[in-house]
Amino acid sequence: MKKYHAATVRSASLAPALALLLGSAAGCATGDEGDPQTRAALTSVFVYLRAEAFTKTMPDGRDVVMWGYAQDSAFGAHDGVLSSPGPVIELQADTTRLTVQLENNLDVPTSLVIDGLRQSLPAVRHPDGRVRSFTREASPGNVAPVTYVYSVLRPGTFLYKTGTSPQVQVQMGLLGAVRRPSAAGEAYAGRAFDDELLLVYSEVDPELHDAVAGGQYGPGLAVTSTIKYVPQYFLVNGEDVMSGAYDVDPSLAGRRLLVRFVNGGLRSHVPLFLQADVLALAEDGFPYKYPTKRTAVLMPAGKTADVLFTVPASGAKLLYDRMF
Amino acid sequence: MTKHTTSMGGAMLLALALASFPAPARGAIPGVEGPSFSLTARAGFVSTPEGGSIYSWGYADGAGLMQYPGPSLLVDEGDVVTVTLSNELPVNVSIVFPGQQGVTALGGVPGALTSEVEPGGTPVTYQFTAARPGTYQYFTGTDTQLGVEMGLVGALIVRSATAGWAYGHADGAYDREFLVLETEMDPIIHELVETGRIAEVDFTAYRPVYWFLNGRSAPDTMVPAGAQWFPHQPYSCMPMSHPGDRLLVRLINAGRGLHPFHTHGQHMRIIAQDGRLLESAPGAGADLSFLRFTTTVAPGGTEDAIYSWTGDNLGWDVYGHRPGDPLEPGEYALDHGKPFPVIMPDPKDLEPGPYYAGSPFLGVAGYRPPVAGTSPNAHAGYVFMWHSHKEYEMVNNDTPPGGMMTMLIVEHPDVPVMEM
Repeated sequence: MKKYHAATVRSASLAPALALLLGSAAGCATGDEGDPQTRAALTSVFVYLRAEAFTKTMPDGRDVVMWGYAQDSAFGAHDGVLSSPGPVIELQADTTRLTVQLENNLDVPTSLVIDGLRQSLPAVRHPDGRVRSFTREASPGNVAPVTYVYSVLRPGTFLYKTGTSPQVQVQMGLLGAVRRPSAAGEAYAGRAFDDELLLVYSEVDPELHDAVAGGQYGPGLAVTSTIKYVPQYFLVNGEDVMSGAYDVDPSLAGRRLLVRFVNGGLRSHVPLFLQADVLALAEDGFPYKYPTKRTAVLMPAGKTADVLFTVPASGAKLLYDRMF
Repeated sequence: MTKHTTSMGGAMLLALALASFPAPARGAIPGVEGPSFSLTARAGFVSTPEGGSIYSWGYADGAGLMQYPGPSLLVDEGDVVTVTLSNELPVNVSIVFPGQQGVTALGGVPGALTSEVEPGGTPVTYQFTAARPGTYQYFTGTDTQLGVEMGLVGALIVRSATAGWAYGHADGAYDREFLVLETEMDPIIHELVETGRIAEVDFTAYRPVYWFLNGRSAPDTMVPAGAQWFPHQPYSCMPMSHPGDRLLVRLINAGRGLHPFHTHGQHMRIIAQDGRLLESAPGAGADLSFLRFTTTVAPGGTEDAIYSWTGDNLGWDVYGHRPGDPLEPGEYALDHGKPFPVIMPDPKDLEPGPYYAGSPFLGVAGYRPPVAGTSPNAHAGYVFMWHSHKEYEMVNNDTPPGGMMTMLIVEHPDVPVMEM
């Protein structure tokens, strides 16, 4: 069954706090305005994230336990909405410091890493020496926040995700996107855009989710690893639409559309453009010195890519996944 | 040393070859000439080398048989291309043309990506201007997941205004061109569709066991194009070359999987992706091109590669020349006259493979033990495998060798290269 969701393009001229929702991945406010700790330092972004399980009803009616993130107004406030992918962490061109405080309402330890941004990574190990987490963990039900600071920022599109047992926790849904322009309305130096679209890819294997949620995942239990990962749901911005396409409306003709792709899933995906070819600007938040044209964008697991094109008079279609 | 072509039966073979294959001036990709096409989506059966016969869907050229892949559409830069699609399948079909802009669709019913033709419904006419030369593909824009798997894919080649150039720059100059279109199949899905059980198709259990180049699995890739026992698979995939020829390899991933395509003998220089020359600025040439010995084309995407074999840097003369002998066309001069660095073993100590013609030298046949049989390598060419480097894709439904594999034959300059 094909499903198509309504075109949701974010205009560069809108303030991030007014960002339109992209599927269930909310373009979230940065928390600058309301947070006393950062009111004085507007170049600093402060985000409270809460990791917690929630139930998502899939289009076929099946309820699947997901792990996701909510953005709260303060640690313990619990006023955010859980989603997977989690809320988009919005950085501005002049943001010099990102602080994320994590609350863990899961029943296992979890943590946060942002692929591609410089960060302190003190590994947490199992008693036998194997690494369990790439960085400091938040214990289940932590009463004090665990803080992650990123003070070497650069323009780009990045994937944030759990750094703890990522082979199981990422596919449970603990992932999201970070974006930072080089200037207002500019993706990278000299690459201006009028409108912006962020597409975060992930997949769900409901059997695995059931096993994890039901305490049947782990050594000696019914499911011992994610080696038999067989996703049944293919999500773009948290919705099961990957078999479909995104309509770039002809009303956007002549406007420069930036599309940021983030693959938070474990499979490769290939967005394919029709009626337009696009300038591939960057991979993993690193701009190409000489961008080239593409129609198909190969997105292996963990990859981010940014493309830019001027919408033709006909509009354009973006087949979410030619590998689907 | 005696050149095979002037010794033993070589001259006779050469004469036969000349008689049966009047060599065109340059290699050309077989297909249907545009700019107007009439395609019909219909069903047929794809043959696999181990004896399989798989119900498939494909595009036919007008009233012709279903083809896998569909007809290669050959047009010239600037052509106004029209493709009229009729449909004899039990489901809606359509065509999308990635890389083309301003594609219009007239007739049919609206679909998610483009207008569609209902079963037996009024045809749809797609029209666009082939504004830029390059290698492209087309496929069904209707239930693409199932349609692509069933075979509704094909190549679109927009020839440059300058003959012999793939793109509007000498960096795309070529002597011969070849199509390498990758696909794969899971026959369980095809059986379900054949028996009217489309609703049971489950792509989460998708497991292809056949892999194809230009619609054929090895060794059928090396059977000449148009062989009558492949009524639905008219295209072969057997590149041939003289030393120094620039082969334009038009790589298309028309399937859904990733296929690391690996060439033996020489690297490929990737000069274009998705029909766009890899250039830093218009007119700069392929200055962003790069060498690869394995390239993975994105599904739905294309790459153009220049492959040119001279045997450079081998450190010995592939012709077995003496230093005073004249250079052959395309010969790597720095190794001219350098001796073969191995003392050849006694022939009775050899167990030659099928392509070993009896000497290490290009175009020079030698003694093959009778028990080894006759080599199909009649002119003592060099044979290099091109294949998917996912080794499990080199089988036909668990039967190796086969799958996504073929051979390049480099022939001595005196041997006419057959167009396959």
